[in-house]
Amino acid sequence: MLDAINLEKQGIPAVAVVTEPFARTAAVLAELNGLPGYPFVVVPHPFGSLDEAAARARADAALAPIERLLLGGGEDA
Amino acid sequence: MKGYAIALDVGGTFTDVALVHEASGRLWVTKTPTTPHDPSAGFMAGIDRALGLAGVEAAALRHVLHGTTTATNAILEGKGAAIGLLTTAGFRDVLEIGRHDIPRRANMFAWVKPARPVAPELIFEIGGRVTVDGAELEPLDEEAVRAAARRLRAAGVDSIAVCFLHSYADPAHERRARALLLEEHPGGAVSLSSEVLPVFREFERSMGTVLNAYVQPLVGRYVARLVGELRPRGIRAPLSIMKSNGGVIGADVVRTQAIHTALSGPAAGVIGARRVGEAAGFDDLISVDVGGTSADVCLVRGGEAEVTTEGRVGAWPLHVPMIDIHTIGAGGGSIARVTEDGTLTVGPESAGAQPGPVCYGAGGEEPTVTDAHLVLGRIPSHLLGGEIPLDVERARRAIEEHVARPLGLPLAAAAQGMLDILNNNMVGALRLVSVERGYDPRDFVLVPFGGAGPLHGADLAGLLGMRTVVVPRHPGVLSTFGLLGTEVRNDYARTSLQKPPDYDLGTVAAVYADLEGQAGAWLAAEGVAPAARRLTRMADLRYRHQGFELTVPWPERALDLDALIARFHARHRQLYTYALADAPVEIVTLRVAAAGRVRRFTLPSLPRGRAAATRPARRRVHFPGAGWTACPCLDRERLGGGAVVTGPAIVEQLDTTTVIPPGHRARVDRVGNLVIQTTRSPSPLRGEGRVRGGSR
Repeated sequence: MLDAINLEKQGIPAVAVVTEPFARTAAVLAELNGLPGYPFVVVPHPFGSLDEAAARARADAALAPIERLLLGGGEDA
Repeated sequence: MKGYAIALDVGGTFTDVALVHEASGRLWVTKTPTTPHDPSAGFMAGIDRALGLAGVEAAALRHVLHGTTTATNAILEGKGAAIGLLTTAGFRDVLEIGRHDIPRRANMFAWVKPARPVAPELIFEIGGRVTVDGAELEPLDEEAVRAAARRLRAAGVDSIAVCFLHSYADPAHERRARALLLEEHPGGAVSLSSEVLPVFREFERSMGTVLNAYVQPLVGRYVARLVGELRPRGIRAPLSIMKSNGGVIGADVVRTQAIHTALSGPAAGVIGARRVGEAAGFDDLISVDVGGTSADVCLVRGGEAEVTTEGRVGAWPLHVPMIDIHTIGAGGGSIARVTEDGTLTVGPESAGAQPGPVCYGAGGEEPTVTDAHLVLGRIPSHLLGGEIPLDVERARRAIEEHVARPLGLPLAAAAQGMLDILNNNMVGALRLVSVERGYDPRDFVLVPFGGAGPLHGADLAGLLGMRTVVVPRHPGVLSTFGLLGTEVRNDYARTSLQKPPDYDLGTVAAVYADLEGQAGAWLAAEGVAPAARRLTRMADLRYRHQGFELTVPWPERALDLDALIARFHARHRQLYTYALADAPVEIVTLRVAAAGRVRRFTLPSLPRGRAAATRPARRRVHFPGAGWTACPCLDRERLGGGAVVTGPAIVEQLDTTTVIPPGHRARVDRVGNLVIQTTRSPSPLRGEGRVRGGSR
């Protein structure tokens, strides 16, 4: 989240992808770093135990909201 | 035709100087004030002073050796050059992203990522791609390099880092980029990652290269100025600079590899401690250099200082080989405070040289460790042989007001508490370089040095169960001894990933041959005779899926894979208590360390003698457990070789004071080291530091 915010502050479009349990932490970090309401993409938890096919499926599902945020769609996935 | 060698270590407060006559070993040591606005002024003053002291002509100097903090200070104070970076297309943000971890003690929510040493608008993406195997996937975009050079020149940026993907596998694109940059920007200086740090991991390699570019103009100018001022004095001797890895390199090399001097001064101290240990018959030691502001701790095993390739300078990772020194904010100037909840803290904040401890009377108001020593009678009422008088009353008042009263303690208990806290902080650092790396400190001797080290040595050893403390003859200028005794040393590395079961030993042999070829040529250029050269092969290994490597030696010329992997398992077990005997092991990076001895410096012997026959002066000194004691205070100058001092005793000399607590005995060895040993029961201990040839 901090990396995304630092990049945005340099004018580089960025998007943070976080798993569900970290959504609240990510929102607080954005607020503390001067970008309250900064949108990010939330994906389901857990990730570590997925096999490759399941991980790819998760990534495919996340692609559309990532693109939306990066290319100017606006809202949280 | 032996001549003289001179060594100068420029520290924060003093420039330490040692001059030695190489044939006889006769030695002169002195100090001059450091001149921070222009360190070369203090450097030259030091040379003049030492030559004057010895009555030696400048032309008789054969070697000038130097430890400098120019590079470190530039990084820590953010005063390096404006720099540009050329990187592979698509990798512009590698530096900004860095690693995901934040400093261990930082608050995740409040931590602010430090600004990178290169401004984002001065980072240029260049087309062209080399694969992990070194094959060219896409040719270098030469016009993009030229355009970047023109923009950097227009922006007034003269120092440029180049870090292309996988350049460790084939540096051709980086070298071509340098040629193009210099065509367009002839006054520029170029740092290539394939020369500064040719190993994988983009962030660390980029940072190492960027830091080299960052300090290179400053270090280059400084070294050029030194050389320029030595010549008119009639000094033709080559100038050698201490590197972070414990070796020296010539002034010419430093100008292009400036970052390798980052830990120049501290490394010299460790090499000095190693020499002292060697002379005293101890190969396994832990050195602790306690100055005014910080303490540097390092472990030496089998006569070799531990070297790391995962070091840091300030906020940045620096993965060039460096002596593995751990620094903490603990020293004579460390300030004691009582927090709101009644906790006594000591350091890391320091009163430094200005205003200094309260007892200096130079405006310091908060009590420091030096004030505690003074109040407890552990240091005399003046320093540097009377040059700096100390105000005991003022120190007492400060400790009374800021520590004793808030804690409801008697004055002596408060002062002792300050020392106890500092000692325990330093024990943390000593444990970190020993216990946390799989070594038992009880198997080592402690070598305390620096102005404040010998005040704490016996107490630190006691806390860790170490039985022997070796206080060098000249603890205040030990770094210069390191410089005099150092070898030339350079490290060569290349990433060459080898995965099981298809280890390509042919490639490994070829990489080693190439690295050794470079190393041999360098040693020859440094004038090292073939018999005095030493090449050591090492390799970085990891279990498959592991994110880090361990470096282990690979001495077998026939590339015995089983021996290498067994060594890796053993080191993994030593560090982490387990090894995965069945897990696949990958070879990641191959290394060659090159060392060569170019001069020999033997610590001069001390004439045999006893403690002075006259009854020593006594003063009241407070020791924990014993309370106030009428304690003999001896002049170290008057202790001859073989003299024995039974604690409690205070041994004073110009540059430090040594405390020998009750229950300890000290013996002066052949070269004047004070070897302190506990006389108490060693019940919880095992394995005293090994003694070699102890015939004294």
